[in-house]
Amino acid sequence: MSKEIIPAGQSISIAVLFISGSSLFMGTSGQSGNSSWIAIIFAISLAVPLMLIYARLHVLFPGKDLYDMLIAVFGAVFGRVLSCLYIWYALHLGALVLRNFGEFSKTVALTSTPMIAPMLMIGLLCIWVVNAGMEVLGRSAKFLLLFSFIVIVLIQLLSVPKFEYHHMKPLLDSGWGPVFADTAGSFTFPFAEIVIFLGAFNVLPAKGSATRVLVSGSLIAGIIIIFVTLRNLLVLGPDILSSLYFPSYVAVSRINIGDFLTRIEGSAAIVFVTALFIKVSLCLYVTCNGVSKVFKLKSYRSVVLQMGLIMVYLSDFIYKDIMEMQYFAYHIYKVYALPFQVVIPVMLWIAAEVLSRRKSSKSI
Amino acid sequence: MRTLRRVLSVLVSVLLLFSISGCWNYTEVDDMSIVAGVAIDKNKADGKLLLTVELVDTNGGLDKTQAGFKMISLSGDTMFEIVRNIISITGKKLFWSHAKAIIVSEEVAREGLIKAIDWYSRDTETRSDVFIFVSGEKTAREVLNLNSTTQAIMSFELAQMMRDEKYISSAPTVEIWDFIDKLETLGNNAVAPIVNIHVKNGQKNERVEGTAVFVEDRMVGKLDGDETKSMLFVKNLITGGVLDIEDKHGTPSYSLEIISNQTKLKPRMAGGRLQMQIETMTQTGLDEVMTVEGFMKGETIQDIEKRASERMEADILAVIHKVQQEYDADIFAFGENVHENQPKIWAKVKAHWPEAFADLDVTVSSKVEIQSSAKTTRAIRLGD
Repeated sequence: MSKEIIPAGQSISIAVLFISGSSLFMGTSGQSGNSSWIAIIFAISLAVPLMLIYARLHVLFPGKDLYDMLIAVFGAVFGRVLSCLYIWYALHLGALVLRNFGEFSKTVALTSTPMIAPMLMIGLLCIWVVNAGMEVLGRSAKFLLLFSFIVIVLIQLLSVPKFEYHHMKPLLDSGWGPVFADTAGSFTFPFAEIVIFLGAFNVLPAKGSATRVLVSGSLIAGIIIIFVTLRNLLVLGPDILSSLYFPSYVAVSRINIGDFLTRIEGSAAIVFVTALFIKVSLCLYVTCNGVSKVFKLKSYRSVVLQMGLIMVYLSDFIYKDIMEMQYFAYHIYKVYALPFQVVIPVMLWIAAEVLSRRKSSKSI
Repeated sequence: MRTLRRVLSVLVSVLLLFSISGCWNYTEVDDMSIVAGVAIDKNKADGKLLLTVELVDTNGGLDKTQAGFKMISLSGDTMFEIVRNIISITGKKLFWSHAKAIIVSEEVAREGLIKAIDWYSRDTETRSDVFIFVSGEKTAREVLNLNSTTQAIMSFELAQMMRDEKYISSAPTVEIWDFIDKLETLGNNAVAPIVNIHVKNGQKNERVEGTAVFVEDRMVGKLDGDETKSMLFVKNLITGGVLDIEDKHGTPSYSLEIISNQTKLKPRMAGGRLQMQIETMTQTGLDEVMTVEGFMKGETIQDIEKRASERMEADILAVIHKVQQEYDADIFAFGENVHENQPKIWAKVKAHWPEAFADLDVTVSSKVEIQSSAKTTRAIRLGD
């Protein structure tokens, strides 16, 4: 089997859609009311150093993915234990994102269709694309990003007449405390979730720059998220914003151009689906890749179908209802995700630096 | 073997084509009752909610140029219960996306609107861009019932009126979404337009004029059409309308068409008391001169402008004082304005804002500018 390589432009597209995916319709955590955009800027500036660490790992281990690194650094047994944790994280994250979509379609779009039906459809699509390979995913991401970008910009422009700029005032209404809480929230969800991409680093060209992919990916996604958050804030205002499950959907439903261009929220939801498709597919790929590395399978393709179906079922029973989902996403997740996103990667990075120094001093 | 596979895949595709195309639970348009609007009353007999829905009758014949309507009333404990129980009368599920108007009776409004509108904003089948009205008559359904005399779907007519409200400015246009937004915002009280039945010469028509003033979700009072116009001036929501001005003898003789208006609110501390400075700047066109003397003889444009400005200042002050003293409802969003522009002062007055609003100092300075005199340069001259 020839090795799959995807060029930088396509990996950036994957990264952008991956990061902005859930936030496009879930919104970001919003305790700080009208200052949430400041929190996002902080979260981006926190995320960039983390991206540099991730990218450094790629320099230390060119052409290797997260699982190879873990096994190489922490040994065959402990490395595999950590790999299993990451397999769980990727599988769980994919299930969470699928569930977000399920709740979205159940709540606003297809109210009497059982949630499992749309989730299974997307799940099967993801299984298909992952089975076809990362190159297919990369190419579709590049195309879908262009498409999503056009839709997002168009909707942004159409909602300008509904903007009420006084919602921005007063700046920092509730003080710095909630802003920092929100920074932590936005940092773990969605920015640092890109740690999943480490599990697919083997598809980056060995000489290629992971820094470029990760940093530009998170910056572009950050700008998109800031614009979407600002739009929601200006259209809805901080009070209503905090009461909605899917603020973007409601904000778009307010668009009314001359009583003619109305009710376009259904079409806008297409963007959510495309971004989510990329996000779930990447999670699925990383899960399968991990399983194949841990159990030394010849190819990850043999477990795609199984893992994909597990992911769909997991997403079906992972929460009881949408209230639980909301609580988990904004309160528990930022603690739960921290080891996966920061602690283990930083440990891995320090250990890898030490090892590589030792190796280079020996060879001299 | 290859042909078998090919035939099988064709068969599977054909099967899929028929089974997965279309929606999971589609509804044909003739299986739905399309709701145009609702009226919410309190049932006299048992004190429960009484809902009256105006349905668009889709069974129109070829000779009809306009869709017909149907009225159904039902009472119950909660809105949603009634809405679902109506199916037992219509036999069809109600379709809410095209509803345009909610009319609530004054009685319901005075008891609190949350119980009537929460379902409407929460449910997924309804849309939050529906207009809300308070009935000026005894019940809300009387207004909807006018459709039997006017032969038109009342809710759609009311919605049309709200769209053209920008030319009169005698009632606020309030979508249910704005209403809830105001309920949630601190330092901002909600308003809703009042709809009356207008009877002249035995002709009955609906008429939207005036404002219902709310404190929290309970209606506390009314403003009439002129007061509403002054209120809209303060809220910077004036987009059109007419100012009628007296001449120097005190008889109304000039009409100024409002072209645009800009209102600025400036909260500030003056002598230890919170003061709200209101500045309005109105561009108008002189569109009617009802005297033969004309407007150049004896009276200059500046005189008319000055009189209009003074009149407007007095009107605005009067309505603010009325609202402060009688209703104590911050419908002008003064609180929100203080919050946004003077957050430090707001932190002090936030806890007792209703009282602070009631003795807020207000100063008004209005400027009315006449930009044009429409098509003619002078008054009609009597030549004899």
